[in-house]
Amino acid sequence: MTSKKTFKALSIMLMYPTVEIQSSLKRILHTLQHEAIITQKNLQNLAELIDFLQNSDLLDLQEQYVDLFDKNPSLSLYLFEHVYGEMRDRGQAMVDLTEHYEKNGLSISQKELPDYLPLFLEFLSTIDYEKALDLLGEPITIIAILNARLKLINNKYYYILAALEDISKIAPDQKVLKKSICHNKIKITCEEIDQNWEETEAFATRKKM
Amino acid sequence: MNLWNALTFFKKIDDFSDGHGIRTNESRSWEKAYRQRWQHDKVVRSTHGVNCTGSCSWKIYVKKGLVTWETQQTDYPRTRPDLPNHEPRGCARGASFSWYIYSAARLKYPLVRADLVRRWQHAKTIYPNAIEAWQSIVEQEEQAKEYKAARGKGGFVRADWDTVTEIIAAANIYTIKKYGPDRIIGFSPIPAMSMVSYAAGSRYLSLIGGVCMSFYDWYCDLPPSSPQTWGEQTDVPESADWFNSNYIILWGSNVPQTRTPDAHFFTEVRYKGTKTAVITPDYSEAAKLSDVWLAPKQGTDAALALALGHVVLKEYYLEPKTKSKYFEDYCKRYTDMPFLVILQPKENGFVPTRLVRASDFPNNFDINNNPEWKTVCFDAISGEIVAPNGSIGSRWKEKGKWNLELKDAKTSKPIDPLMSLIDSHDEIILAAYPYFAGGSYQHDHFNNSDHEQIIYRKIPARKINLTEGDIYIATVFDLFVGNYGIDRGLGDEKSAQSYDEDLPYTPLWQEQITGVKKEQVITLAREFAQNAEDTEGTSMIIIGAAMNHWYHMDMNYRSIINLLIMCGCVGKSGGGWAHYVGQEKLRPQSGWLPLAFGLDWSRPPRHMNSTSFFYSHTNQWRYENLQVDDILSPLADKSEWQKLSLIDCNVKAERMGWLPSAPHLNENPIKLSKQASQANLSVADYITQELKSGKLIMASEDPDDPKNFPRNMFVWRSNLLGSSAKGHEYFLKHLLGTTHGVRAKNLSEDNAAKPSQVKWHEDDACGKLDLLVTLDFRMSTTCLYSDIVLPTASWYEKDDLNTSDMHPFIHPLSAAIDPVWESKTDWEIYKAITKKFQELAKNNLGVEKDIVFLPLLHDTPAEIAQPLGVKDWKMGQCDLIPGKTMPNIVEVERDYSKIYDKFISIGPALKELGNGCKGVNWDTNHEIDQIALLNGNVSPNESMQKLPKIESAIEACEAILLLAPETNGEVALKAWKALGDATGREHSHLAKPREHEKIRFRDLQAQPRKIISSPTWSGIESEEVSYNASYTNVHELIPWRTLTGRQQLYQDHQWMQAFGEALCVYKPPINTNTVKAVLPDDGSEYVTLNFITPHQKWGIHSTFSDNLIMLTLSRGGPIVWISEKDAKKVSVSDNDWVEMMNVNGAIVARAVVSQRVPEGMLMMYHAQEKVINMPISPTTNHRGGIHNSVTRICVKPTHMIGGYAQLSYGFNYYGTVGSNRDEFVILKKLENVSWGIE
Repeated sequence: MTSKKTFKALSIMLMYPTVEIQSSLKRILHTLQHEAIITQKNLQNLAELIDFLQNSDLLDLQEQYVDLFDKNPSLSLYLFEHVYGEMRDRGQAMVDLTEHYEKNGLSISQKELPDYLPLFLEFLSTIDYEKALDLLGEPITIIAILNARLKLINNKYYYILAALEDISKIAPDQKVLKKSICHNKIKITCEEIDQNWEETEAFATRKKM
Repeated sequence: MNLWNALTFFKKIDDFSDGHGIRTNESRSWEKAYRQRWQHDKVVRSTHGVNCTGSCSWKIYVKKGLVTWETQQTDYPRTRPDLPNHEPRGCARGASFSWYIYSAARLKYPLVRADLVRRWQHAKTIYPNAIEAWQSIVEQEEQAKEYKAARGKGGFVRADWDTVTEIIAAANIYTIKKYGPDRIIGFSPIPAMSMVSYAAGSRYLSLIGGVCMSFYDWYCDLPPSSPQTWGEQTDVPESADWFNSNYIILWGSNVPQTRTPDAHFFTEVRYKGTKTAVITPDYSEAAKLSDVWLAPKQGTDAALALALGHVVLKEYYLEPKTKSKYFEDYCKRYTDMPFLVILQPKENGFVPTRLVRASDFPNNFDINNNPEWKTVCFDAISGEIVAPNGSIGSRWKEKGKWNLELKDAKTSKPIDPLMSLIDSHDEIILAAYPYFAGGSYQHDHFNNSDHEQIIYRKIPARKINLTEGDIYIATVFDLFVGNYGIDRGLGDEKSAQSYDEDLPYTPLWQEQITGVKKEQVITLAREFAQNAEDTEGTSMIIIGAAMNHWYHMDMNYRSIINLLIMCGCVGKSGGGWAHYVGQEKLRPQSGWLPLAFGLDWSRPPRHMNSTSFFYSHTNQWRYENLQVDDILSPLADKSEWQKLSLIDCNVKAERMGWLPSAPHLNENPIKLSKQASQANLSVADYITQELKSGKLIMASEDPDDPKNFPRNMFVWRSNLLGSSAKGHEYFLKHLLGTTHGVRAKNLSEDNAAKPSQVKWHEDDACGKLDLLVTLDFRMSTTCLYSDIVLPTASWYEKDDLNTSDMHPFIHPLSAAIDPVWESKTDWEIYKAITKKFQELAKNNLGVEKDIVFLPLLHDTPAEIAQPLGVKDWKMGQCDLIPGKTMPNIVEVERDYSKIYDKFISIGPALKELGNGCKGVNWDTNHEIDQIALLNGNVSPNESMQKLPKIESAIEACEAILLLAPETNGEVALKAWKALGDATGREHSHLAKPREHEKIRFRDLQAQPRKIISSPTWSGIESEEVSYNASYTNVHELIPWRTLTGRQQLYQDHQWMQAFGEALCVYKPPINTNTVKAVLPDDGSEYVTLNFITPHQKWGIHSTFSDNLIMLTLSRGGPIVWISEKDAKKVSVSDNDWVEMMNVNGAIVARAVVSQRVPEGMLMMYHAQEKVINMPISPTTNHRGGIHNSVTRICVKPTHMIGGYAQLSYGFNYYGTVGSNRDEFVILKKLENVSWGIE
């Protein structure tokens, strides 16, 4: 089994910036370059982001992170926020995901939810790369939406998501993607609200976005 | 028969149930979806501790440590036969709660604004001592302004618990040292919804000497008419009692929408034949399910109710043929109607003044104890004047006479109080009545009528000999009839002989004010009264915020209370006054009080009435344009009120000990106690001396002196700024010092008269608060504006207690899961702050002597401090006597090095001083020992003895449950016995059958429990009747806690007379003058509308209003409702964006154009969050605001009265209230919607 540390590196980069994270950025860059599963262009971008994370004032970075990811539901790093929002199906989905981790011998040690993207990426870094790629494909449309939304507001964090999109073998659903970013930029669209609220047919699997 | 060939034990599988069922072998894997749906690891009982009276028990399903869903509990104890059960309880809002836990709106980490963190980190490098570090930040004024100006503008970073508790504790300690503990305030509402969570913060504040702010009055949900009439904050029937009613009027309340889990009783009762009438200006959800709908113009309800009263009084009291014996007998026993009132001669007649007291007679009527507080009436048996049992004078320093037995208190002989002097008068005199809706009342939107300001009506009177000489007197009843303008055959031109005369308060008269046809009024009055007469009082009025949120709410309410009392409904099962707004009865109150206010360690706690506080400290008084003269009675002596503004009245009230004050004085109380001991004087002597000399003043006399600013503020379990903060923009400007939308000119800019009792500073004081800390589980508008945001556990993550006024059960909140992310329960958060405080206090604060100013409290002997007339020491009208002519001055020792140790243990004061509530006290040694046995002991400090432990929230719950009579039968018995000592009657039979019952926390987790009857409440828990207020007054003859001991219809305080509210009159809405100055002059289309803020459908206040499901059911953002006619005037179609503005600020929202709304009215459901889809207002150029962006508080002098029986201060009991429905806004269509995002 070969697992890839690249996922771990991207996971750390997507976490709330701390002194510890800042001090491990060099190693992260090294890992990314060494494993080289990311295209050169994305690598360059990530190097630029790492440079930015390293040389910015930590409080500024933290403030930006909270503004982006903690305050905006549309940029939430919790994957199911984008699938289920505040629907009760989210509970079962989280239970299923937790069970999936457990099947692979891992349980969640922090006070964190199973659908938190950095947590999910760390998990990918522990499993076989091929399997990781399959798994990454599942939320790839959400990753692409986050990517597009961050890009729209010119935020360098999109490099991380672009890299993930790039690694994935599965392409995001362009229709959903287009709808999700058409207007209002980082706000939830009215269509999304409607779609979230739509009753699904009994026993039909919920349309993934 | 064929044993061998046939099967004995089997049959072939084919079909069954006569061919209706068949067997197949197909896959059943599809069932997994169903089975998985209901799989769970555990089910936990909890509730939603939201500010709602529902108090519904829920099942919380937990799977793999995650909450997956919730459903309604259906195991409430059953009611009795023929009465529907309380369940199903719950509503759409509660059912959508579980996703708050994991929602994007959830607060996950402690947050501090980066700007402040940066200053803190920098200061800490220079000053290792945290207190000095904080000092360096706030004392550099210009720099401090910067971090204050950043409030509300994002910029948060995550912080760890150690850092945030350090900043908070340092700020608190600095503030105590520099300014005094009374500059630290905390706001949290409605303890009943999560008692221990409330108590966590209030216990911390009370131990350090901080100020707990009131809420019920501030929300304007407190109906001051209740304390005025009954001496009770609010007591109401449980919703099940609606089913016992035979005629229900639902007035200004919207039960199906806002009391969803209880609404079923309202519909069920119709099946047994009860008639329901709804009175509300809009076609509300309630209007749809009633038999009759009356739609008076909003704000004019008192006119309608007075006309109803006119009909009832005439037909059921005065017409010999239809007169009701039941009604008269009821009023004789249970109201002040027979009592005598002094008539003061005035130019053309007489003015009714105060009630005659025993002290008015020579030799005090031979009454020694409290003769000034004993009222008198004529006895029909002897024909003599008597002082009956039960007046408030017999409540204090006397035993056995405080009851409602119809007896002469002196001789104990039976009496028959005489209601009217119509058959035994000496003279018919002309009594003067004020009228407020005549020609002098001018309003663009409300009608007046063509009547004089003073109306003289004929009244039977007698002359009696008092110490002062021969004085004319009349009974309350005769004055009451005169007030309703009913002719009694005395040939009175100013009183009506028929309903068709246009005289106040006839059915015809009200037509021009309310728009309701007189025939409807007459029919409704007759039906309501006839039902009450036939059934002995089972007519009920459910009443709500739409009536109480007006400036003259007392008139709305008293006009209805009059009607109920006239019909003998109060205290009767299935009848009476059912006010359900904002109180949520804290049933085990006396068990909770010691925990919440640290009464086990030190007394008294510091309490403050929020309305007066915020009026003063958010500087809303600086913009006041309502003059005292505008609201004075035409009968008042205007010279007494010259130069007094509303804030002046409030300052006087604080000085005279009527209202509380915080901060108290323009000096640190801890410093003052040191100065007193240096001067070798007691603190009381020292402070009175300094006040007299003028060296010391009340802080409220100069609220803009930085010494008197409130400095630190905690908000928990509340969204103060996003919900209840009337004058939101003034809060932003003055308290917080950040961007705001205030456009009003202050009094100086407006060249208006300034207050005479308050120092005026030309410069605006802005940014008074140094630190605002908010605890919440979601990013509310208040969090947005806070310096520090602490993530708290949600209602499925903590253990706590919950009760309501709507049902008699107590039930728990339980931790289904541990608090998520970095959140902690309120109890644990305050414990952490307290621990840090204790740590940092060493070397900074020691054992200090604090001084508490205690107002003349209701239910204490101080409530009879000021009997006859109003005297202000500052005006030289009397001497300064603490506890008599001014607040009491109490020295309280605080050991700041033991705050945490005290927080987690029960102090010795409960054993030493006992426990109690509402003037009833009992010994509680036994319960303290039991708590120690149950929870264990703790000796937190070497120097401290072993004490019962309350370290965990469950231990705190157990302490409440053991101490309270409602949950411990043994205590209930003690409490009833203690009350029996005062009344001289035996009441313990009410709790005896449950003597050995002790309800524990785990019992509640198993099933909600019905509480035990206790003297704290005026209703009982029984198998025969549902809970209803005043039941024990009527059936146990326990006096109401009022001047006469009866239901007080006549309010004789001097200020009540001055404002013309001795009897209930019609007062139209006030003129707030907020639109004229800012009317658009650019020719654009606009319409001015009355701004009404009812409770909403898709949220409980602001909670749930940011929940995606509720937003989807609504319109996904801020909305206002307007009529089709008004929409047309400004070319607005449904769902268009509109802007509302006035001098107070501006709001942007979408318009719901609906036939529901009458012309001239605009409804904005409170409280829609500023954080959800809020565009930029072109008027203020910042984000559109909340509903309170266009309101401003306007206080009312009659609510400031104190030291006068039922009109005495009590926390959330009496005091100024924050009304807001008299407000108007300009509405314009918003052509270009800007979100402020490039």
